Amino acid sequence: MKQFFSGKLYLQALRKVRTLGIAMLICITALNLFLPIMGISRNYALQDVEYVIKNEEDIVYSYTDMYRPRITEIEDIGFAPFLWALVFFAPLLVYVMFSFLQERRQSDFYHALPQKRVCVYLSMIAAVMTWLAGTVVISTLLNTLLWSFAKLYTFTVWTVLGNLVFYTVLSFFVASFMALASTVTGTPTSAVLAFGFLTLFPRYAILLFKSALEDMCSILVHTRDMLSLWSFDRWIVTAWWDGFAQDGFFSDPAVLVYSLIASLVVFAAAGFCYHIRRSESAGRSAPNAVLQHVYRILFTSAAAIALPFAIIMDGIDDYVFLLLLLVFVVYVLYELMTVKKIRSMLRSLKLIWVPFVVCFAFAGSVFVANALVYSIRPEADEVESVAFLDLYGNTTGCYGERLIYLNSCQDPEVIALCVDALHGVLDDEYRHMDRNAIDISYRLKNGRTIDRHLSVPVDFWEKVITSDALRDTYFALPESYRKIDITPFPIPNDTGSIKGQYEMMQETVWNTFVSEYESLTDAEKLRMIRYSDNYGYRWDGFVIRLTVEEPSDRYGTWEMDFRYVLTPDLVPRTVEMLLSLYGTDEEILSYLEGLKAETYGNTIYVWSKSQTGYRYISTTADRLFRNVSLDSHLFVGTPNTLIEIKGIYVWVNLTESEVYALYDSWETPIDVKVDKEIAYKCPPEATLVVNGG
Amino acid sequence: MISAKNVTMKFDDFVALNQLNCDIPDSCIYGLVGSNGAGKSTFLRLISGVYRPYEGTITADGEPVWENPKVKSRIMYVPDELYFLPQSDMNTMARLYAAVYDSFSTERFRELTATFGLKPDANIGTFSKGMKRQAATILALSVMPKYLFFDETFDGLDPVMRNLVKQVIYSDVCERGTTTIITSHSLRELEDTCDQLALLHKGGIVFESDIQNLKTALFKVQVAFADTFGKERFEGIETLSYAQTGSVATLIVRGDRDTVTGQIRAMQPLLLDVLPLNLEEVFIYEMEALGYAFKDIM
Repeated sequence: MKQFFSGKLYLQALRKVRTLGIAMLICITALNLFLPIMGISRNYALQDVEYVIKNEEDIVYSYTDMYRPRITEIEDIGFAPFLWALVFFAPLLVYVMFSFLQERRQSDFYHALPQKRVCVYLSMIAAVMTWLAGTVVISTLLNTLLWSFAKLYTFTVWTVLGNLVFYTVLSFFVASFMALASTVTGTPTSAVLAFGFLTLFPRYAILLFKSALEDMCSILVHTRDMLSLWSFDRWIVTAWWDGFAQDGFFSDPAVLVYSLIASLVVFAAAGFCYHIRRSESAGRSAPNAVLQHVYRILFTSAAAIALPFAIIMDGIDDYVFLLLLLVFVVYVLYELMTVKKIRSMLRSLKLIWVPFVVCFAFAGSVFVANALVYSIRPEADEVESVAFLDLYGNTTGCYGERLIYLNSCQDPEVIALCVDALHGVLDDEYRHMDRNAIDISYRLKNGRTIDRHLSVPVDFWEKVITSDALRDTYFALPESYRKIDITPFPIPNDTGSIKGQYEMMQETVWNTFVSEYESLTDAEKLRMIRYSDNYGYRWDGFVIRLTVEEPSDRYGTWEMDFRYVLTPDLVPRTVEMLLSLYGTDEEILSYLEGLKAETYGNTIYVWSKSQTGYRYISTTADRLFRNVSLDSHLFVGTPNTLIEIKGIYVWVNLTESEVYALYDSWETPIDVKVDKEIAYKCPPEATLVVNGG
Repeated sequence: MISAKNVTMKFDDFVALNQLNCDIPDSCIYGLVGSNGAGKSTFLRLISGVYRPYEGTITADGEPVWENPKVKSRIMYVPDELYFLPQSDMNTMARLYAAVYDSFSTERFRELTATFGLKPDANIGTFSKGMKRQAATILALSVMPKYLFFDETFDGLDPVMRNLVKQVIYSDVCERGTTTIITSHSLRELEDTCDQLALLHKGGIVFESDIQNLKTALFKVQVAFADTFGKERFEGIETLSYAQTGSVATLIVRGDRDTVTGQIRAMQPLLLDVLPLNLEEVFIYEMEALGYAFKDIM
């Protein structure tokens, strides 16, 4: 053990960086504490705190009045956000700890100590880790305490754990790259440049490679899955402000695990480099002349690979020549910055051609990958199953279509159709046809899976869904649903007494719809499905929206939403039932009166017709009922304003001054188009306005 | 004993030490002299375990020094460019040394700081160059090492402090049998300090000898005869250098002083004067005898 770690040296190492460590701890902790302290002071500045706390269950997830206090669940990234500053502090701490590698007299001092190199390295790294983890733990625990006192804020134990794990891993991750950069260089400049290179280059190179390949290879499915752990989307460093951390620190555990393993591997690599490092490297940008060439060429490669990338993406454009110049400049600047000798820079020019070889290698690898993708041409008898990919979360389409997407198909007829489609694309047979794009996954009998983005004839999909194997699936309706929403009778958000009635009514409507749908011919069903598919473009009937959970052989349990537009020509009994359920004007007024008493804390959304379209206003219920007498406006004149009150949509006729009375003083009206989904039964004039609008 | 066998050290294309061999006996003060770039500091870094030799082996007490904490704990190296922790005082440095050297003696540290009159709680950054060197020497001696290496250690010390440092080193060697290596580019600096002296040139030891032998083995003879004479008159006497001006000849002679004096006196000279040589003169003549031009070396 003594060979690998020295407690005394560890304590000395802790002391060595204590100034920076304490500064880091104070900065981060103080800034983080600022947030809960502000939260606590805000509680006391606001009224009705006790009311909100008592009614937390009702208020926490509902629309709330912005002027009233509310219970807020603190998200992971909002809990102690300034811990993200460890991205800067962690490498700085490592740099200071190993600064002796950048200066000969310091290097001599530390290398003369009677310890094995691995012992010195591990003791120092342990000290760095202690400062980093200590800062995370102290800051998180203090924030846990303070947020607990801020009454209107809630958090879970997972948030605390998430902060501890995420920021510890994040700080280790960036620290490890600086450790490696410090051990393979010998001057501050080269260490910082190496750190930047090691941290950014792999993801940058993969991003360029993927983008170039996807641009070149049109049949490759554009997916984030390919090398995704090395994409910037899943980089722990930027996840805090542009990645998975937005949804919670544990929302992408693979990244956390990868980052932890990567940091341990890089720390180990740095330890190995430290072990084999020659002490005399201190004060020199690279341990030897050969490595100086290697470092310079690698660094220049970052600029060099942008050149073939730009050509692949845009062809030879003017800026390509600028990139060419950039490669040269980077090459020269690197030498000047690290060695600081003109003569050395001039000598280095003899290898200026190497970055351009890297350019060709990069371009070549893209072309080779492209050729490999096109060379894969399975025959039907080699394919075990096919699956249709929905990469973009398409929520339109009928239930049956969604089922087809969820499950793979082993039917020989469908497989043959898909294989023919692939061959057709590979042979460029569809060039002159009208085409649609589709993503198909082919699972081969040898266990391999290939995903292809194919531009196929427009009748391809119809052939698939009308195949014997898939026809019944395509026209199926779900046997049960998790949530049903029938416009204009959505289930209100609250738990008021009317909810049960709505549910019963909706179930009745659904059962009627199912019985009518089942009696339709395939052609009629197809008409309804297509009608529903195009729902986004028109509206002249009622709509059923369903949320269904389905088991999938490809995704496990899958939740999906889809809708059916109900038209009198296809499902007349259902439409008639809905019309009869709608109720009289008096009933609506009575309902609205009832809502007045329940609107405390609710936000009201208003779409008011203007000369250019519709203005969207978010206002309060209090303001609405104070300024507008709905009973005198409802069903009077030409409706010009649509109001949503607790999920119920009402058309009213408001004067311009009444509309303005709904604005908050600071709010600027936004011109919007009325989403036709939200329109429900209204006077005939209003229907015309909506349809015409 | 420290032993270097066929040690080669390179910095890229530059060969700092080339197949160097030497044995440094225990309990001696070993002087290593050479011009700038001769390889003195490199040699010290190698035997301190700072550098790893490209070729050859370096051992202390029969064990390799490189990556050997047990051996390195017996070695203390005071480089020419000193390093102290930023913003540290001598107490801080003493704590660091005490943490990594089991043999560190706080008592000795206190005793030496008092002897040198340095404030152990003063920021070392405020010390003069000489005071920093004293501080480094105190810390090194407080480690109580078996092997103590000083690189250009007397640089920046005033004569009083220089003598004090020398005294402390002497007492360490005498009382504890410390083996000390001191490098310098000044022969005079080492003349009255070292037991053994080696001359390093172009990465190799070109000359190594016991100082006492060196000083007594060579001496200058000035002699004059009534008749005409030449160098052949002194056949049988090992003469390293011979010069004659008129009837007076000056010889640099190796051998036993009494025997040589007796031999010459038997020739009945008009004048016979036997003079001692200083170390630099000894080196000049020894180097010339080896075929080196001393002025090119030093």
